[in-house]
Amino acid sequence: MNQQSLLPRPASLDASNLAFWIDEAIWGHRLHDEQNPWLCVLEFLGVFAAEHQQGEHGALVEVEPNRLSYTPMSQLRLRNLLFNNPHLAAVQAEGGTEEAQWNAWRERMERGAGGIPDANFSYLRERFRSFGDFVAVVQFLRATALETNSNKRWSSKFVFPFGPSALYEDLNISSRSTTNDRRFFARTGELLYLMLCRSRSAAELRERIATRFLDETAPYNRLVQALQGEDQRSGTRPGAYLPYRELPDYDRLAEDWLAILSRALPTYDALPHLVAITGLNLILYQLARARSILELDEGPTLVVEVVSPSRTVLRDLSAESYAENNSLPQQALDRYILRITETEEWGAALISGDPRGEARSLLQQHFDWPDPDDADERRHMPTELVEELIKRARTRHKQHVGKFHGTWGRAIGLASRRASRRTRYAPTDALLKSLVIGCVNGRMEFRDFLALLHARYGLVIGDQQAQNFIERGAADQEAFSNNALRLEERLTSLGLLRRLSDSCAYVVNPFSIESAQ
Amino acid sequence: MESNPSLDASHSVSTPPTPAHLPAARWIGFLRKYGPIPTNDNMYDEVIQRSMAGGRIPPIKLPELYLDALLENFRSLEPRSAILTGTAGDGKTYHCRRVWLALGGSDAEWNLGHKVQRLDAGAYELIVVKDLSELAGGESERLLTQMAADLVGQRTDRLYLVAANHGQLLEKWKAAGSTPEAQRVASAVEELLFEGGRSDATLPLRLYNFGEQSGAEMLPWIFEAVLKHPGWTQCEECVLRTNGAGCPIWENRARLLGEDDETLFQRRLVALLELAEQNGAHFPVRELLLLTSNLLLGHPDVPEDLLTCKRVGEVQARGTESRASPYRNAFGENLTPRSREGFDIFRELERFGIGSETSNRVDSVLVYGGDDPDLRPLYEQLLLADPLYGGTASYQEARRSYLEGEENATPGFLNALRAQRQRLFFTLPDKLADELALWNLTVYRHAGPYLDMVRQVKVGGPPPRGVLPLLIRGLNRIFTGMLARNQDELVLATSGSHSQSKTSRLLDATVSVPRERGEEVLVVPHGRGVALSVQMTRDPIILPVVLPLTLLRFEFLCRVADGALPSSFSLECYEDLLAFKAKLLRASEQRRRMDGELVVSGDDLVLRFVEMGPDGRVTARRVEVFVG
Repeated sequence: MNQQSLLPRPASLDASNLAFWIDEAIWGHRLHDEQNPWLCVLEFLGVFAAEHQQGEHGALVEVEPNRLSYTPMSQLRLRNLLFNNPHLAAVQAEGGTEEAQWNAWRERMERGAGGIPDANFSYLRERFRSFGDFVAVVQFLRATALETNSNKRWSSKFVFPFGPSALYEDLNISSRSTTNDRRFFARTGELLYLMLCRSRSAAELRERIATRFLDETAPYNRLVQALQGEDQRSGTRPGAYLPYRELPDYDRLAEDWLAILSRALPTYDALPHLVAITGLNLILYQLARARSILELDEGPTLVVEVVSPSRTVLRDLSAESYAENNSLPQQALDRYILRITETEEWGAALISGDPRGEARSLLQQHFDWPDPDDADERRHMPTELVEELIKRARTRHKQHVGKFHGTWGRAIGLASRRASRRTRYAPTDALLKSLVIGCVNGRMEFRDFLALLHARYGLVIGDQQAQNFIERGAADQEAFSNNALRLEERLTSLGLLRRLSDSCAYVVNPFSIESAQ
Repeated sequence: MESNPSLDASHSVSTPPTPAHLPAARWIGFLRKYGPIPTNDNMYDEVIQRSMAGGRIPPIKLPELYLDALLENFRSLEPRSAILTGTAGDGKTYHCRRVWLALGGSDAEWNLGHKVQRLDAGAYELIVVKDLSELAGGESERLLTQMAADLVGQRTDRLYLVAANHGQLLEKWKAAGSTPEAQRVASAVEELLFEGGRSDATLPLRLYNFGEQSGAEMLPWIFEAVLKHPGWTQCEECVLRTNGAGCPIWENRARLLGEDDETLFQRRLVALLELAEQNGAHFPVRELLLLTSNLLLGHPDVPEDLLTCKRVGEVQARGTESRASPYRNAFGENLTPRSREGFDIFRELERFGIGSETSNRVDSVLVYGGDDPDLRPLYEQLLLADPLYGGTASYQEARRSYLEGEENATPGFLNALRAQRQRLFFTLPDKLADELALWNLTVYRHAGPYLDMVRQVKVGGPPPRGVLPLLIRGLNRIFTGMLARNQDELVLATSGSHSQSKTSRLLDATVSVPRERGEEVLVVPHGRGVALSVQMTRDPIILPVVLPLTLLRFEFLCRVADGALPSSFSLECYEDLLAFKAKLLRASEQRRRMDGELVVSGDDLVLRFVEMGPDGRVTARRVEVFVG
């Protein structure tokens, strides 16, 4: 196993919030379940836009590892207008002249606006023919806003990323302060940014993303500008950390982005596919890193049940596969900690004059724990210390990083409990479509498609890919070939497959350049 | 003959005749081999040849769809090599053999069974491979490499006739792709297979794809060949025809022949196949023969669920003739669910839900018709008139005990009801089809108008009245996410963000349905079916945007237009229609660009919001934004 060395932890990374350096050391700073894949891509686009507009070297360029520091936008006027503006209906209901409606609304709005001292919305009036038109535009932008977090605070709601003016960071806004509390932009988007930076396709991607997502003149971007007025920027955001300089995972992710962006899809339609494929890649990244720590040779394997009306062997196998993968990150965490006890330094510490002190300082050095000032931990024997660390690390891991696989799996439509008590890999039509759009340019024989999904993402669907399971008697050939048959039928019904006969079918991407009408 | 006192006296039953008294046994045994049995050997031409020779049975004459074309090619002044491809059992080997014989080859030589046969056809040598998959890897690679070189070199003194299943054809050609010639032929073959088409522009090669044959068109052909086969003449001397309730095989043949009802049963079967094909199904000859054999011989209580003459006697002795109902056999219901699963044709026919679906009217007749004076005439006409498979004693008994609320009567009656709905689907006279809502017996309630539309449009006619407005209304509801009533124009609306979002509030364009300023929406022939064709402009550069109207899409649109969103098949159709909308939007953008409307006028931005009027029609509200 080629164990790449971890990149050093950046000095800029403020450790005061982190109890210890374990999850972040393995996967980066950080994989977060509450930041769903949409919010991850939004955060990414914000970083990208900031670096593209202001960065010294432009977007997707990392001169020194883990030195990313960017200044995202806050767009507080726009956000107040869309998501903190409950006055429109009331003002319209009260009626009155145009003048009266604008004034009544402004008075209430400027009083209630959050995060903007001395709010002044007077510029809006000259941009609309009538107050009613203004209301219609606000309603339109609200209707297109991302429904990723419907019941969350208004400062965590996001307008559709129509263009650069529509990209801003998640904030916590109270009457007293405005902070980026990293609640929903928890840096998973920064990880995505760094992964793409470090991929082989970074330069090509930079072009594509900039033209597709940062078009100032896109009509709805101009609409957003009309509401926002001048852009507003937040403070500088340093502290991103991604532990490995190179990984095949980064390249696969970047290739998937490039593939989707090269299809004959409108940019806005490409976005949901980018989100889904990013989710899948990050899930695989988490599993692959865990397997690497556990020194398991092969990459992640996900047994996929193409949903069947009745219970099948595949459903059980898929549930087992899910459960096994779901437990990998925590096993990796344990292993990552325990590895230290196999080192020479640890052995030396144990036989030193001050085993407790030496062990403590070794742990301190590797894991940032225990707190040197924490008297409690001084009492522990070295092995107790390690156990204590594992216990605490697990507790923290379970809160977010440990939920990542499950939460993101469901979010992208990969994992499901449909018709079953156990969660399993049972992809939705939408995810299948994203896979076809990402993997197939033009057409591809169905069996090649199955082989590709296996080689590229570890997805086991048909009998050719399931030889391990069949040989050890977990299921027969037929169970898997029926599974593949169900996929074929699903793809057919989605218009993504053409069957020429019982022995030959093609997966067809309707958005390939050559088949575009 | 001795009578058997233990059996129901109502059947004039005698001891089952011995095989010696069953004159058609050999023919029926032969026909049975085409049926859904594990040793379904008759899909192989070779096996049929052998069993016919042994039994001295004249062959069932299969459709020879490509034989004339093949012979014409090989006898022409510029003959080309030919590839026959399809699925197992659609007649490739049969065609090879017929070409072989027609060009002067001998039966004896053919029957030696060489994998590669050579024939001196006068002006050229013909190499015949009746099944490419029989050749080992190295062998086929050598052959295909040579064939590719000959094709690319335009060689005229050596031609090929090669048959292979679709999958193997591609696999073998791809495996042989080590020379540039082989690669070129491989990609030409793939292109022909995928895009359809018979010949490549640059290579002297023809491809005959049996997958393009329509099962619905072949079925009457096969019925003719099977039902009028000379084998049946032997039945005329058979005692089974007069035993008990008669011979179910003979009875099923008569019903399928349909001499009294203008082949109603056949026509309904053809309609189902035609509809299934419009949904993308394919039925090779083998499957049609299998269906025919099962229709005639199916019975759930005998070995392998298919009757033999000998078993007919036993069935008669038990009085279970009615369980040979061809209307159930049509769906493979004589088979166990597991073995039924294994046959495409039954899987496809099962999708129609015939037996589970129903209309109130039909069920009223079936359940209450015996007692309700208003329904009684229909009950007599539709049930009692068919004492064998319809109003049997056991049906009437099940109905009675169900209506009287006897314990455990329901499951049995529901099964009987299912069988009767199936029978009615195939026997309901055309005159009653509308009144009793024939197509409500299937999941595709709009299949009737759909079939009319396909048949009329394919011969150049317009669709039936009322169909187009219904489709347009359905489309508009999908396109806007509102219950729009507009049906004389297509309303192209977008969400502004991505096209997956449920409602679309921004008007992009409208397209008039009747021809107006170059705009027009039509139903046109398309491949083997029909399609909706949207013409945006007179300019020929912008091609019409086309939506193939499968049965599924048609049903979906009609139901949406009727005000329902059928959840069972909504998702897949919804995706299709969103893709169609995306294509329309692209064409609309192209039209604006050509009309010079895409130039941004100064700083202003104009939006058109879709609003629903009180009459249910959607209209546009114009909003201007002055961007600073």
